[in-house]
Amino acid sequence: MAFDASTYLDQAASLVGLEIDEACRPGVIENLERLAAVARQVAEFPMPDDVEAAPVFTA
Amino acid sequence: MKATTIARAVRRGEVSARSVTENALRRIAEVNPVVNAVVDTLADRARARADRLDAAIAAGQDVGPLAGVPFAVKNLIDVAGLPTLAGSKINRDLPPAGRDGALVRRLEAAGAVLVGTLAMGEYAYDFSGRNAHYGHCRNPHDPSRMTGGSSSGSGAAVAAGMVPLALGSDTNGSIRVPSALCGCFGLKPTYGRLTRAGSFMFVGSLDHLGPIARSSADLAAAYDAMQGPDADDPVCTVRPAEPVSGLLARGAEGLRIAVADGYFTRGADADALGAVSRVAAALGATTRIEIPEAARARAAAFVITAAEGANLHLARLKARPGDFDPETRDRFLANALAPATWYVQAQRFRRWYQAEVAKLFTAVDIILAPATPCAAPAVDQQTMVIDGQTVPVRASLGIFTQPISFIGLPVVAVPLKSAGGLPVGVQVIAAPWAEDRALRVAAELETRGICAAPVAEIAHA
Repeated sequence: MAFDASTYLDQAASLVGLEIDEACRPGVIENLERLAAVARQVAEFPMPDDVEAAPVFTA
Repeated sequence: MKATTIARAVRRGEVSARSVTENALRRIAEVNPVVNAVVDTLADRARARADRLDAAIAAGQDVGPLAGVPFAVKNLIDVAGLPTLAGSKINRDLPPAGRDGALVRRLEAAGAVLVGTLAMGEYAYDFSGRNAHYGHCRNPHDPSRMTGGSSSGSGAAVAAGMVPLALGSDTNGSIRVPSALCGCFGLKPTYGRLTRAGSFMFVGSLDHLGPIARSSADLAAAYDAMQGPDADDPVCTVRPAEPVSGLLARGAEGLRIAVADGYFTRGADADALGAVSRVAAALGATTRIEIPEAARARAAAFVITAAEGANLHLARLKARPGDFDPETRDRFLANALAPATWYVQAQRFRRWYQAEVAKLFTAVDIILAPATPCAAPAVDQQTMVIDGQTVPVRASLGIFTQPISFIGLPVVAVPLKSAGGLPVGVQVIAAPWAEDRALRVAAELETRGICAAPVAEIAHA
């Protein structure tokens, strides 16, 4: 099913308690679509089960 | 004058800290109307501090390696008595900071003199230097062009010769992008190297603080003064300080240097790629190296930034959405709706990618890459074409910096002049905790005359 940013925005904004002003709506939808496209690149990467988050970096 | 030159003269008593401070204040008054880099000038504080230093020097005391060096800080770093604006209108309502941020205290303990706070993109969510509340920052080398951001005032103040040293922050490129576009040297240290205590940060997983200056020696002197553990920043390293100033004279000797291929060659124009080629040629670097999955690393940094930034600002987005800069508001609002699995996947990818890049550093010591895809765009330019796609400037000038800071690697951004005369930058990237190597290469490039950061001549000042 194709992602519908407008519908998602209404439901998700309600879930986190955010009111999106009508004037901002087109800009928010545009940015949501852009974020979704970028996130897809990360989400589709096959990750081994044993890879955990990495807060600390050493040489 | 450069910071180390000033410090030497002040320490020897050849010039007073007060006169150096007065010069900085005069230059700010002269050129700030053009470049809009300084938000608060701290004249009284700076004069009082300089007079105390001069008295101490007259009494034969050692006031430190940065004696009398004027500096200014991006206004997300606390300055006692001022609300920490972070480029926002909303933060004007915060109570004034009770004391200076940790790095301000460390620089002043080494003899430096804070003279001002600097402009930035709202809440550091910016690569352009544009700001609806305080006016856009303008590039000292061409005021019709942007400075880059989000440490816009930091790059502009140094390039304009207001101060020889500024502090900025870098989450995705916010030290390296303005350093490149304004023609300065910038150091983004290893993640966790410098304390962030006492600053209004943005994305805890990715935030760094660091210096911008006009030489590698100045970067090193400031960096050495700021190193060391700090229990007030939960991610600050417990490693003891590892001073680098004494190592710069070694230059690039013995270092294995490669040029980043693939992702880091796509979407960069002739100015950006030409700068990398000139640096590589000067260093005799002929090896090319592919940083695996760099595009995905940039995407993952974008997602982590979106999720953590929106979470940090959620209460403000609910209470005062109309008081955000319109250029950040819609992005923040969209980001507040991101599902958790994107964020967690991005954090796990970070571990995978870090392990892959660590393997590269068994074969090379330094990787060279462009800092930005091009020299400074016009202040009002909203979109740019990268690799055939039209993308927003504000979010895209950092495509080459994001995959590097994503895993906390130390980088020195070094300045060159493009064919058209505008500055352009190259990232000199090292393995974690090897800031010394990146700074040594920067010093070598200065010695060979490849990189330099002259003060901009500003017309109509």
